[in-house]
Amino acid sequence: MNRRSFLTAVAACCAGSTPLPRPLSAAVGTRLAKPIPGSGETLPVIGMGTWITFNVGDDPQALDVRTDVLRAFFAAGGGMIDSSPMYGSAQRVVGKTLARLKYPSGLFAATKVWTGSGAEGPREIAESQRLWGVGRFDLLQIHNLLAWREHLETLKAMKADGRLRYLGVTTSHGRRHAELEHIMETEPIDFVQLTYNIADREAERRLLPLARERGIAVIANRPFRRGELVELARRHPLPGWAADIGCTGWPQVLLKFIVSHPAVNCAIPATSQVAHMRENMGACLGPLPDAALRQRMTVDFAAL
Amino acid sequence: MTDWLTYSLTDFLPFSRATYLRLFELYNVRFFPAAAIGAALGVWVLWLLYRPTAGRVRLASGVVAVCWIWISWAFLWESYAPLNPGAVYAAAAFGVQGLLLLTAAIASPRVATTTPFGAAFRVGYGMLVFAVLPMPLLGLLLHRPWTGLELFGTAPDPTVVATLALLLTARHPLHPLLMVVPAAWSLFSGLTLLAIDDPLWPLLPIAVTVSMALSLRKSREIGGRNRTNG
Repeated sequence: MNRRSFLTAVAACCAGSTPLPRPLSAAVGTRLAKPIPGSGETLPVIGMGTWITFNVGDDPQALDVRTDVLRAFFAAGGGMIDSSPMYGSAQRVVGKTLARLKYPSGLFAATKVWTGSGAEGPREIAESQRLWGVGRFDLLQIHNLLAWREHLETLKAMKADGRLRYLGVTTSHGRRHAELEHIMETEPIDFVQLTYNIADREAERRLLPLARERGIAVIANRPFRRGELVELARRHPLPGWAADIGCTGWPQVLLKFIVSHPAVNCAIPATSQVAHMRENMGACLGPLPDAALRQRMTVDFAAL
Repeated sequence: MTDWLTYSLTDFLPFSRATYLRLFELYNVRFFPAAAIGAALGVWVLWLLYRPTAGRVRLASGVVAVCWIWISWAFLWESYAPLNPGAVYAAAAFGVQGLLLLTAAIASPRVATTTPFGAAFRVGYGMLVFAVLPMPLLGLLLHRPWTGLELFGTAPDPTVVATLALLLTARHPLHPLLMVVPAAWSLFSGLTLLAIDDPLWPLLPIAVTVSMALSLRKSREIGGRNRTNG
């Protein structure tokens, strides 16, 4: 099996047309990626968030460390970097560190609009572009649904003009799911970002199936609940099934659970440590759990 | 509405504990020797209020006012706001507080001392000593580098405590107004430190509570004396 046919098989399984074989074996070095519905463009299943971790201002030491973190991210085949104007200096730090790495070709630049004024949206987006040092974002999302009706019109116009490739909306912590469901049902969005992890699975009930129905890509935030789930899990040894899916640590287990859901395209863990980044990106390799193993994972985790 | 109940303190904090502590290191280095000058001004204020007169209280108030204005610009606007967008509002509030204190120090003819060695003065002076001397050193007990210590005059927390102390040691006619920003910052800073698991988080809330209680008692005593003399 070559890389192209393997990735095609993963995509087909995740689209639900074929049950996932158990467990998939992957060629060494093959990195998992899923297609964005509608475009077919593939996106690596592990991206990177920047909430807190990249908000370090002008600290030269911290900038050096974040550059190393990004270098490890791209070396491991990373793609999506997600940020927001809400994250303090994170966008500026992302821009500086990307510039140091000369904007790797695999970058999928995703940020958010975060202003209560629809009229302020274009100015804020332009400022984000300046901070990132990019001419165009791959994905712009309306942060926590703030003024979504006005901003959605702005993003639609940008996409129609070719100034934006994808548009989306975000929530977190399981908030405003009813409103999110309404937007997913009625608006032409490409991406939705929401909280989904092995402990917070409310989205499985309606939003993830709806995303599949509507051809909307899903980004999972808070994969570790800001480290809480990893801290909890690390007090216990890895279960035997972890090796079956190529996991050497709990972070990889938690990430593979998330991205093995057929509707989820990408998880965006945030880290400020190179070792953790390498560990997280390890979840891009090896097989994903099938439905039966996913069920067992939830039971075993709940028992921890 | 119920969404608000799902928020925790940490949801509002866009930076880590390490970044917050590093903020003071970078700030002290960037604006060197402002921290040393601020600390020296704190010692001067201690001397001015050791044997307070109306003139010395005005001078001390003026010094503290300048410190508030400095912190508004150098710390809150220049250093903290890039990490925490909400700091721009704090910068505005600190600027207003500085101007109010300056007004009280320069323009008001009614600044007067309390009766020396009264309870409010003793507690206030004790708080002032604490703010200028041991409070900054508490950071060393928490293994913070000495370059990252928060000093009177350049860091908000010890300056706020010193201001609360100043308001206890003297009678400023703008007193109630002068308590607003220190009280608000005490709450804000206490919650910030609580969110980053800093054991010093109760300091400012305790300082403002003590200050308010003694201020109320002091104003009742003064009111009682005025009624008796009248």
